[in-house]
Amino acid sequence: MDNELDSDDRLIVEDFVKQFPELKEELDVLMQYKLQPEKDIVFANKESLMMQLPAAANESDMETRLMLYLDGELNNAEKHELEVLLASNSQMQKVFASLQKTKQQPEHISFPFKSSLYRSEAVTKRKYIVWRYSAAAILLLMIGLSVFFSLNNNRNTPEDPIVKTETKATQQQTINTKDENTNAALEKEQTEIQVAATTAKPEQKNKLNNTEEILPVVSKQQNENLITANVKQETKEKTNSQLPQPQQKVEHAIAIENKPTNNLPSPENNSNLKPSLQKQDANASLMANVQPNPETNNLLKHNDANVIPASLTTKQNIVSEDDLENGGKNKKNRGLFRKIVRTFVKRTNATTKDGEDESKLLVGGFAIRM
Amino acid sequence: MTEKEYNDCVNLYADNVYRFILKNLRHEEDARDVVQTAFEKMWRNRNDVDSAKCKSYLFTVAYHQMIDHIRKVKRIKLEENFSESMKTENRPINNLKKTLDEALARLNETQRSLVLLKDYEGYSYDEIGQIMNLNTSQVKVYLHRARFQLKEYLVKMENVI
Repeated sequence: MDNELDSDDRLIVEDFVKQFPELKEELDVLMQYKLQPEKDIVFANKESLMMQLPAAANESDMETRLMLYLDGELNNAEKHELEVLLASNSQMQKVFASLQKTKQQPEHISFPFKSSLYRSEAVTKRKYIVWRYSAAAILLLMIGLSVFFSLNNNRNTPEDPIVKTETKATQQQTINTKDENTNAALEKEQTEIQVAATTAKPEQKNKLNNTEEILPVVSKQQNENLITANVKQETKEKTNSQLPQPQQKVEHAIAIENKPTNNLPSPENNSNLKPSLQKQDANASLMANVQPNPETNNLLKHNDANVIPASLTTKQNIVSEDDLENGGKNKKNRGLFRKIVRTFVKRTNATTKDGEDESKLLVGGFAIRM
Repeated sequence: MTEKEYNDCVNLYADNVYRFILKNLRHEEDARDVVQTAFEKMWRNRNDVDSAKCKSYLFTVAYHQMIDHIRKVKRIKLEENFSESMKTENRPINNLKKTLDEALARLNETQRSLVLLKDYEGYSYDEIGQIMNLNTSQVKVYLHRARFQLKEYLVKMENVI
């Protein structure tokens, strides 16, 4: 009845109704209730409802199309259609002419600093390389300056233990060389001491111990030498003036280390040149080792000012003054260098030792004494 | 982009970019700075820039650089209303070019850039949209508004004369 069945369903329904005639009567009754449209009802004033597009809208649409045509945004079909319309419409031609006037005409303006825009990859790479090398040079310079100043500070300390021990050892050697003319048998032993003293230089960690080991040996030898030297004192003074030049220089160093009183000649009976109480005590201990010989007592007194205090001041300077006064700075520097070594070894896994010498650190070709 | 392609790009498009920026900013030193900045940026990113698209890349960078510059300096005032500040004294009568430049100067920077990119460089709506970060419909609408304003200004000037 509502015409919502398709053709197949409709045929099924119609066959079913034919089989049951009583249902056909019922269907006919239902169909009578279906309303039929009334065609005589019409709207009388239909024209009043008519609407017309405004002329402005048409004009705007026309301008839009003209602008698209001007901008080249129309396809060929639209372009052809518009060109036909444009040729036949004078109003449209006026609008198109006014739009054409708004079209900007390109003018030639050149960039005045075009050369500043050119770039070269080689120049850029060169700049990077220059910056890298300059940074590396500055870094090396800073490291070098810091190392130089730290080492320079160590050298400028009033009494460096390393230098001190070396000079003291040489003092002992020169004292022994004085006795060369009087006792030729002792020359071999003295050269052994010299060798022991010179080989003790690179062994930095054991330097203090080495010097302490050397010094008692030297002092004993001095005592022996002094005992034998008493016999030929006069000839010794003569031969001292005939010593080669380097030995004279070493004697001058002894005079400096032994304070101004040592610069003076050593008269036998000069009360102003008596050694200090500590030196006297040390002399007493040394004298105990020496066999008391009444003939040589005077000569021993004569040589006390030059010989015995030198060995004593060596020990005292090494143990007491250097460690107490300059030990703090040295420890700081050593600690700093040790930290640098540890970080350097951790980062690079490089060998930081100069051969078998563990006391040197290899940093860029520089060996830093620890 | 190789070094040669970059330098060729300088030869080919430095004037165009400079003209585009100068017409917008109307200040030579500022336009020069913007152009140099755009080329600097292209040189830094030369490995990512296709040489075939270097022109649009340059215009894109220069345009956004110019917008940033305008926002910073506030040298250019946005003048949406044409009729308020129209002055006709001592105006050359038949100099259409100068009148058109004045009309162009009265557009806002978006409209002006649209007109310049279309008329000077001949970019399509799609390309302009890519450069100015607008969609094609926006380009079409904004550009038509700009042309209407230019036409309106020119018609009024003709009527005044």
